[in-house]
Amino acid sequence: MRLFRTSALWAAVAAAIGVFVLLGYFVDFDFIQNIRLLFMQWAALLAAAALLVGLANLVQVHWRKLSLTDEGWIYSALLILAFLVTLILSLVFGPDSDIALFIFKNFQFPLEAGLMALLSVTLLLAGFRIVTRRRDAFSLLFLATAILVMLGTGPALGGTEGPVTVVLRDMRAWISQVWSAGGARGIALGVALGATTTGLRVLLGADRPYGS
Amino acid sequence: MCGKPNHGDAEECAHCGARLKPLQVSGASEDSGDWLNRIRKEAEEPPTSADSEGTGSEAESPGFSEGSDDFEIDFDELRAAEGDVGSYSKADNGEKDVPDWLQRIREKQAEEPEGLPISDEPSPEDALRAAATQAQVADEPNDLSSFDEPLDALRAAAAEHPAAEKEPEDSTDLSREEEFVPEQELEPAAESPDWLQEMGELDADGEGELDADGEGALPHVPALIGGADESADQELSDLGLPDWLGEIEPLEDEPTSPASDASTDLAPATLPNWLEAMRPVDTFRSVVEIEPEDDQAVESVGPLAGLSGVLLAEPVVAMPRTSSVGSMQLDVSERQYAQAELLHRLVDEEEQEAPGVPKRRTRLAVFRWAIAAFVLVAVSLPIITGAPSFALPGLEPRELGALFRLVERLPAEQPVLVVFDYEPGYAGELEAVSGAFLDQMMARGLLMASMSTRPTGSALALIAVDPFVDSHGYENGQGIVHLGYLSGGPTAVQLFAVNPREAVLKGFALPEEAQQAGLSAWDSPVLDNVEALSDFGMVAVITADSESARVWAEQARPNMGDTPLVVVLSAGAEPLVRPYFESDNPKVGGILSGLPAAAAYELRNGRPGLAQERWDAFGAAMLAAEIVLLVGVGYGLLIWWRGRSPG
Repeated sequence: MRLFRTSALWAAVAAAIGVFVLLGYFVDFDFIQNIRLLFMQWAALLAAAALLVGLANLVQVHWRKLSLTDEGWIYSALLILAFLVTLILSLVFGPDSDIALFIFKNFQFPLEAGLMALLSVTLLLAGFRIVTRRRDAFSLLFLATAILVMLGTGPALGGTEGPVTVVLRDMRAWISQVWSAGGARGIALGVALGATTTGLRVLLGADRPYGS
Repeated sequence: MCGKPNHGDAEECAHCGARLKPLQVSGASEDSGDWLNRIRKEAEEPPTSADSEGTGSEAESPGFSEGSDDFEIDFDELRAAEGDVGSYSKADNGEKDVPDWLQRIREKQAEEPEGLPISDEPSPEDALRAAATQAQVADEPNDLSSFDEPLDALRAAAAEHPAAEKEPEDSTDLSREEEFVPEQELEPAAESPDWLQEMGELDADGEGELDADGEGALPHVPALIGGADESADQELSDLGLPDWLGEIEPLEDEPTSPASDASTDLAPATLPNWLEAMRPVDTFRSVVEIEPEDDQAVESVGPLAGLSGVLLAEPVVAMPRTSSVGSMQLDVSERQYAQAELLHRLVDEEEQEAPGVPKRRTRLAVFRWAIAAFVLVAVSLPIITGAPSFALPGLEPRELGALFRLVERLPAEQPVLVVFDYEPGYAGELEAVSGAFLDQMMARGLLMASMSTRPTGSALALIAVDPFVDSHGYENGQGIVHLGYLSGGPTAVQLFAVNPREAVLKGFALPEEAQQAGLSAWDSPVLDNVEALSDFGMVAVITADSESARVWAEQARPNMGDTPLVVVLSAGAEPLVRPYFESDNPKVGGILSGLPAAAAYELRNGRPGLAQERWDAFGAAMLAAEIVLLVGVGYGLLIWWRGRSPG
């Protein structure tokens, strides 16, 4: 039992599994490929289990809020009610049944669409206030960029062939494909390097995200 | 001296046996015991004649009763035999035959005519006589004031005389003797005993009358008060005691009874001078004050119940009590004190009633409501009124042509996998953007299979393809099949890329016949020849998240072979996915993003779709947003300018 409590054992397990999965990309041996696939299947199952755990935790949090009648407990009660109704109906009739799809099409879909629309108005209001609250060069540059991109993206009153429209379109392309794409490339490169480094650290046991 | 009252005529104390009246004795001589022996002899012989009785017999000593066994001294006879007391010096002049002891006294006085001090001060004997006389007439022994004077005289006389007894300094002696001092002034002259009067002439003041040569002075008698340690040093012969008194062996003091009060009956011990000087009387203070026995508490509990003078068990021992911590020293540093004060203040603040917060006046979010209304009006106007109207884009993106051609060249026997990886909130944009793409594929009659790595993706797929299924005559399970939800994230994508049939086991929204038959989506004729991801003709990922596009491009592309990967994106995700499209070894074969591109795609396709339907509203909303941002910039600059201007 003492052996299982040591972090070295778990680090060794994580390193061994990582090595096998990594080798599967470089070595075309059936044995290694099969082991890699086996580990990946376990990982997929664990991810699905983690989703269930998260769902249970969510229900627990809102149930506690409901039982203690904290602030906003009514919303927690509605959430738990909706969850239970949807879960029961889906388990009984199936997730692809008409009733489940009805709930999705008439409740979840409109609600999320409305929230997204509200987000757009909120972002627009933030853009309106940015100059009044933070009056600096970067705020102005941000607003100028946003206005240029929108002008170059959206339809123009003057038609799509006007000189202004052409200039704005070209400006928009230049901003999105040069500056934005260049910045995105740098971000992607950094993410890749960071992910590679993190993976190596986990393989070598330097990082133990699973706990010490 | 016990200090208890006695009868005025008593010579000895009835309680303790102490001598109340001083005993005056003379110097002893060899013949002191002759008369006593004579008396003894006479007592042994029976009386023969009556002449022996009575007085005047030479064989009889004056003052003694014949035939009496007791040695009773008849002072009257002595007095008669003596005659005048002051005529001691005339004893040789042929007077009556005096007793031997009296003769010895006279002789002694005659030998020491100058030895006796002649002073105005009363002699110790006179003082003693006076004291004894006062003691006899004492009626109320409680008052000691009248007795102090003779006592003082006694003490003074004792101090002067070498054999004088040193009176103890113990004040308790006086306190005891105070009980016996009468209140009334004594008249010693009238009450002095006869024998004492014979010793010397007493005037009304009780003082002895002394001759010029001091012959009338009485011999020194050591004081009986306060012990007689020094008197013990003197021999009996020096004191002039009769012989019979000298033969009497001193009786041992009987032990005092334990029932007597020890604190008040015992005579104070006399200490020698050197020891008395060492006694720290003034500085000695008893720590423990012993209460009188009457005031002592009586124990009521425990084995010592009923006894007094013991330590009480309660409340010292038996009674529970809280431990006193006052004597504990707590060392508190300044930092600890400060922290304790802070904690105390925090606790006090919690107990204090917080003042009521005035209800804030609700302020209308003017700008928020105004902007929302403006945008809503802008979006609604084209739909309701048809104005404003914006021209469709005349130019299309350069990647649009490649995508269009790619879809046009897809083999008809190979199904196309369409992945719907977006949330319901992005359905408004992506349905419009992907509509033309899906329409083109369905217009060609390509077999399609849908799936999603999100729980809501499968339902969104149904919503997205429903308009085209009916228009192009697709049947569920025949032209299009839904694989359902693929759980597991990026790992599941790689598993699906390696072995799709093992990654997805069943399906979603299958036809009733297939569900009743227990068939899976892989049993559908759409996916008959599909064993791997490369068996698909094309993989199209419709997503608003750049991460999802990157996952498919990184995890699934290596296993796709020559199967192209096409992404349909939201306008916000395009910058992060375009590098995968524009690289030298592109992972993404085609990209379609934004409503303008979709509108252009619809124009190329020749079939209007959602993109064109929403183009005017899209344009108006964009214009309204531009106006709002410009107004916000102007408003901010105006505020800044007004703040800078003086006044």
